[in-house]
Order: sequence, then structure tokens, then C-alpha cells
Amino acid sequence: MLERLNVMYQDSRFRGNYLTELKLLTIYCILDYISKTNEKGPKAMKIIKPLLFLALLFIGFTSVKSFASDPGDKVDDFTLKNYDGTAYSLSDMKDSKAVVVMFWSCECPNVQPYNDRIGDFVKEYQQKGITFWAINANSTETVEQVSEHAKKNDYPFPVLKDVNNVVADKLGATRTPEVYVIGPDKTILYHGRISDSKFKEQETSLDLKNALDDIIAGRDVAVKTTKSFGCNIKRAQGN
Amino acid sequence: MALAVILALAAINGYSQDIKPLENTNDLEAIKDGAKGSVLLVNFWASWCKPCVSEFPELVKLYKNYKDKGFQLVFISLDDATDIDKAVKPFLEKQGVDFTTYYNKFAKPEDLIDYIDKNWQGAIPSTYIYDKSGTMQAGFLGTKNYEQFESEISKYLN
Repeated sequence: MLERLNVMYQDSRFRGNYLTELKLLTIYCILDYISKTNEKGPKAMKIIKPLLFLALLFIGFTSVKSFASDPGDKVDDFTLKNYDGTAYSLSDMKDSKAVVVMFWSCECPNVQPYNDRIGDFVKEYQQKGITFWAINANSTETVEQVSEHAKKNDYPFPVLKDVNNVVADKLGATRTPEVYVIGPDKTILYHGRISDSKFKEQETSLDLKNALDDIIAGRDVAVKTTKSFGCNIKRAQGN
Repeated sequence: MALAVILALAAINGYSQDIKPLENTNDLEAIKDGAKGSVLLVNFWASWCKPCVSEFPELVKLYKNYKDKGFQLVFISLDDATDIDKAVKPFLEKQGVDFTTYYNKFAKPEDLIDYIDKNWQGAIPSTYIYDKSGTMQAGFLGTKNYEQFESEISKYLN
């Protein structure tokens, strides 16, 4: 069981989630104590050990929650800078119907094919009161590269640099592209992909558009979570 | 004539660097079942994914060193179907892959992703390790080197 916990700890998906780390540490200490007192110890241990074990199971199950923040979770406020130096804070966006945060990359081949249509899509929904921010959390891509890439593609949205992938860690983002739609009260309303294909001609499900249409119409988002393959975010701590 | 055809077919079957499509969870189940009794490492990669490409030779080396010690390795490529012939096969050949690998042909990526791990959002490279009874014991995102992979699988080899 210690081995399993060690593996979980090594798993980069859990790193940065301090509460989980604390729980894991507690489990370590309890297990260590149990294993040390296994041979000797008073009769009381016969009662305490099973109770401790049950406590462990409880903590264990609650620790293995999905690392990514799920629809329904509340996001902490954050401030990040665009490549032109302007600061953007989530709490300033209270008047938006929603803030769409898109983890982006200058190089990932799962992101680039969207460049042919993301600009028009964003402009259409900006008119409807939606805010769009791209976030670059790749430690391998500099602000200069981000700036050049954004200008080349004429993006109508800022591309914020997530230094040390702080926001990516808070949201549990792992790939590009990966989208979180955050409501005015900072609740996550949608988490997942832009559409079911990076190639326009193969798209059959415009998941982000559908979620935004639901939000604008005041409906509950019908499909709150979607998944897709993508390039892993190149975290500063390595992964 | 018939003999020539049979021999030709046998020769083709004998050429084991082949890449097979995975279309549904039954295909995955079959792979896992086939690996029971061995430690299984499943690696999700794509030819366009730089970190995947950089750790690929480490995994090939691991397979070659441990395949006779109760270890199986399954590569699953997430390249587009149209790139299998022009990008994936040449890459596999260059890497010295002389064993069967697979590529994703699921209609919906969620079905593949969720079958493997509900906590996985689809980022690659992603590696999962199953013990000899077929139970998943470890999963990690991101590049690892030979020593790290070796240390992981060693835990379950005996």
C-alpha cells in the first residue's frame, strides 16, 4: 500500500494539489505508525488499528478525486499578464456572461489547426457577452514566442503567460487545447475540448459552442465535460 | 502456384512489425487479457508529440531488455489515421520496433480515455502500468527516462 501511495505521489497530476499532499502525508505517518507497532503493542491496538485503517480508506478515497477541477467547482481568483504586459484578473470579469479560459500552445499540433477559425468564433461570441482568454502555461514557450505567435494569427484575445503553471495547477489542466468556461460567480460551467476534431471538415460536435449557447440562453449546460487527446502542458517542475 | 501463395502469406504474417487499429473497448480488453501473467506497460504517444518521441527509444529498450522476463509493452498511437502510413510506420521502423503496436481508431476519444482512466483528460505522453493480474497499479503523465520506467515495472515483475 505504501508503494501505491508512492506512485500516486509521484504522479504529476497530484502534484501541486496541496490538500491531497497533506492527506497523503497523513496516510504515510499513520501507516508508518501501524507498521512499527505491528509486532508489539497493547490490546488497545487491536481496536485502534482497524479504526485507523477505516480512516485511511476514507481519506484515501477522498484523495483520489479527479485532479482537474470539475464543472460545479469554484475557481480561485487569479491574475495573469498578457504578452503586452497588461494584467488580467478573473475577479474583474464579473460582468461577463462567462470567461472562457483556453490552455494554448505555440507549437502543439492539436492547437494549430484551430487557428483557421478560432478568431471568427471568438469575435462572434464576444458580441454576445463572453470573454475569452488564452493561457500559455508551457515553460518551453517564451513570452516573445507567444507574442509573435499571437500576432501572426491575429488573435482577438489575449494570451496570458502562466508562469510556473500556477493557474494550470489550480484548474488541474493537463493538455492543450483544454478549455474551462467559468461563470460570473467563478463556478466552472464547462470543461473539455473546443470540438471533436481539430480539423474543421471533420468536426461533428461543436462542444464549446454548444456550452456557450446554453449559457447565453440561461440554460443549464447540457454536456459539461468532454475529453480529447492533446499535447501535455510543459510544466516548469517537469513531468 | 497455391504453394507460392501460401508461402507468401506465411512470409507476410511472419513480418511482425505491424500496427493494428483499436476501435472499441473490446479491443482494449483483449489486449489486457492477452497480457495477464505479465507486467504490462501501455504508452500513449503520437509522432507529433515531442516528449513522446523523446521517451520512445527508452521504452523500446525497456521492452527488449525485459520481454523475456514477463513484461509486455503496448504502444498506442494517437496519430490521425491518415498519418499512420506516412508518419507512424516510418517512425516505428526507424526506432527498431519489431513488435505489434496499435493506433487509436475509436469513434469517440472519451471512450478510450475513460476506459483507461477516468481521471485522465487526454494529455500525452501518458503511461499506465498493470501488474500480472491485470490490475492497474500506476499511471503517469509526461516523459520518463529508462531508469524511471525500469524502476516502476520492477515493482511488479516479481
